[in-house]
Amino acid sequence: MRTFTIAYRNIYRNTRRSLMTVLAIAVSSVSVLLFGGNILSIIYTLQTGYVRTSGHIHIYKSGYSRYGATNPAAYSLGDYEQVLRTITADPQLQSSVRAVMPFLYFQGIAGNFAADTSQAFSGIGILPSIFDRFAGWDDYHLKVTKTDISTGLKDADATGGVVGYGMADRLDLCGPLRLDDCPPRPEPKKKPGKNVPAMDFSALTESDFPAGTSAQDAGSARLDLLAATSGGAPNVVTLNVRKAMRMGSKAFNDGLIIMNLKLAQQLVCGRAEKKVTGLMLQLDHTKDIPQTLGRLRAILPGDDLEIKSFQEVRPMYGQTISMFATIFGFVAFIMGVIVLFTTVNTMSMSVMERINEIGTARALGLRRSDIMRQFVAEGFLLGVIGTTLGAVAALAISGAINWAEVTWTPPDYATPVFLSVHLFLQPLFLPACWLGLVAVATLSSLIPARNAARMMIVDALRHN
Amino acid sequence: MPESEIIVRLKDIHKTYMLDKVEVPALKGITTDIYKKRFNVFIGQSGSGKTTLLNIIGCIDTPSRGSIEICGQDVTALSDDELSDFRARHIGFVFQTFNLMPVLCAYENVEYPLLLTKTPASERRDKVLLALEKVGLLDHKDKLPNELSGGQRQRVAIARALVKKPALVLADEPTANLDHKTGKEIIELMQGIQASGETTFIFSTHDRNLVYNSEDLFMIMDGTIL
Ligand SMILES: Nc1ncnc2c1ncn2[C@@H]1O[C@H](COP(=O)(O)OP(=O)(O)OP(=O)(O)O)[C@@H](O)[C@H]1O
Ligand SMILES: [Mg+2]
Repeated sequence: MRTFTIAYRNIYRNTRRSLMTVLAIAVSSVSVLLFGGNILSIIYTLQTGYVRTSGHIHIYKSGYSRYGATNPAAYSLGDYEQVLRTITADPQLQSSVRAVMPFLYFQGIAGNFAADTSQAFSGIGILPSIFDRFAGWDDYHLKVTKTDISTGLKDADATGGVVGYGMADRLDLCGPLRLDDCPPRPEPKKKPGKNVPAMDFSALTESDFPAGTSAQDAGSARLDLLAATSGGAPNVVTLNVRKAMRMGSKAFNDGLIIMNLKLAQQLVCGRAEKKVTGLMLQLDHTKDIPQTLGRLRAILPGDDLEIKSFQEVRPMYGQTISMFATIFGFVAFIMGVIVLFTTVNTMSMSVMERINEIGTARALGLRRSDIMRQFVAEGFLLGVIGTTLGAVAALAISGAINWAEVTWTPPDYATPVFLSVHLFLQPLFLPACWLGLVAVATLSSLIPARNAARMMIVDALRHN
Repeated sequence: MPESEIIVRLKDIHKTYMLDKVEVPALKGITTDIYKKRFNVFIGQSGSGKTTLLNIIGCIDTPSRGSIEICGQDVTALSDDELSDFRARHIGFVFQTFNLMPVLCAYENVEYPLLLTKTPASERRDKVLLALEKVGLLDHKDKLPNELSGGQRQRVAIARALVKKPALVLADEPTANLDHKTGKEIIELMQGIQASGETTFIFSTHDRNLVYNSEDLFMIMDGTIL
């Protein structure tokens, strides 16, 4: 049958009404696609951020996730070199693992005694070259921020580290680090007659390098870091701050110190066995997580270790996805309802206008099901034209948005990120939205089509 | 007349409409036979039941009572889909208001019934052109209905009714929307086609002057055949 030719011509017959319908469907489809594309960008940006800073998979000593925070010494990983060797020697893992890095996470107090400032901080000891390799992960080709997130530290620079921009400002390191965009600081009032230098706790050092041996380099600043060793004794090391970095989250920006693992171990382990909090694995592709987890569990002593994906380590990622999924579902539902009402309305009007034609076609020998198909085909075509138009518009608009490099600062962020809309991060997203809205338009036309098919022929023929 | 020459056999056909719970009898027991390859004329005043009877013969309406056989088939026993197929194969319609598909050109309108009977494309073109030639509209085959005059539209409708060579062509007052001269031409056209072809025509009118020379006249009055 000529179902589609006739459907197409009938759509053209009432151009104005069809145009309004197609536009309504197109606008719904643009909204769904842009909104969904933006959510996809946010989710994948979030994922990229996690993966760049802490990889896909973490390996801890068994029990770390429950007791590690309160008893880090007992739940840190001593034989990490052995685990590292097992991982790097495994041919199966080599195909999916991009980089592996031990890390040591701890809390302490950082003091800039030259400026009489100190604050609590979170410290992470890392291998600079691998850490910066982590930072180069870009499986989704996303422009996240304008700023470079690599530390630029050298592996050989055993006392080097970087701090967040906010922390540099708080500890009054803007001058030494030559940061030009720190807000001006009020002159501290010196207490008269009491010009005693602040207590320098570097005397507490249990270091292999005697305190003060690493001279402060030009363009960097010195911080003394105080923390408890695994034995429980206070210990101090000197950190040479090589630069201040803009870190995404405000908490990191204001209180994180990234330093060479050697320095962190010197501070936390003292002269005892050098341990780490765990290992981070970064994979080439996020989708390889389950398979890699399986392999790791097979080749590593599972009872002694906790092997977790970044989603498990950071439940907020999954929660963010479900939150956005809910919001998106709601918006998509509303848009679907708009498409539904528009199509039902248009198709009902179309049926009403063509009652006589329906009667004629039935008299000539069309079955009820043929009439039904004729009108459903029209709904389908309206849906196809509308959603396709919407998809094309969404592509153009998303391209423009991404090109314009608009930035925004997400909640609890310290640096602005690009507002972007990516329609292809999930290969099925665009086709699924397209199909979904076409399906709604097609299904919506079922009701008017059924009414058309059910008409009595003689009544329809008498209608003029 | 032999049995085999009967194309439509009506037995005690009743049709009663319900209008606000009041029964309106439109046909009151019609029993008659209609013979093949004739130009049958149903003539009667407005409201006499012509349309009702033709609708029942055309299988687009069902009698309240009675039986009807067309080409030897008891059509009251057929399902809705079977009736559709039966109409598609055996019955051609010419309507008072022409009823062409407004989005299809003359050619496509005539082709339409052939698509329903799944006639192969190779045969379709010849059949459509032949039918359009018979009604003298070959030159207008690409025009849409609203680009044709009333008489031309009715000619397209006649071509559409004839193109599949149906056993029966039903024309319910096909001239009512045409001026007298055009109406006469249309009837002469149909009579000419009937005389040269295989088809049985059933034609209804309330205008006595149009059909003075018809061989088979059925007078309808008040739901009965006189
Ligand atoms: N759908 C209907 N509902 C109620 N009554 C109807 C219906 N259709 C026809 N009738 C009645 O049935 C009778 C026969 O009508 P019909 O249309 O068959 O007459 P007709 O001979 O075709 O008249 P006309 O020459 O005006 O077309 C009339 O009294 C009419 O009012
Ligand atoms: Mg009538």
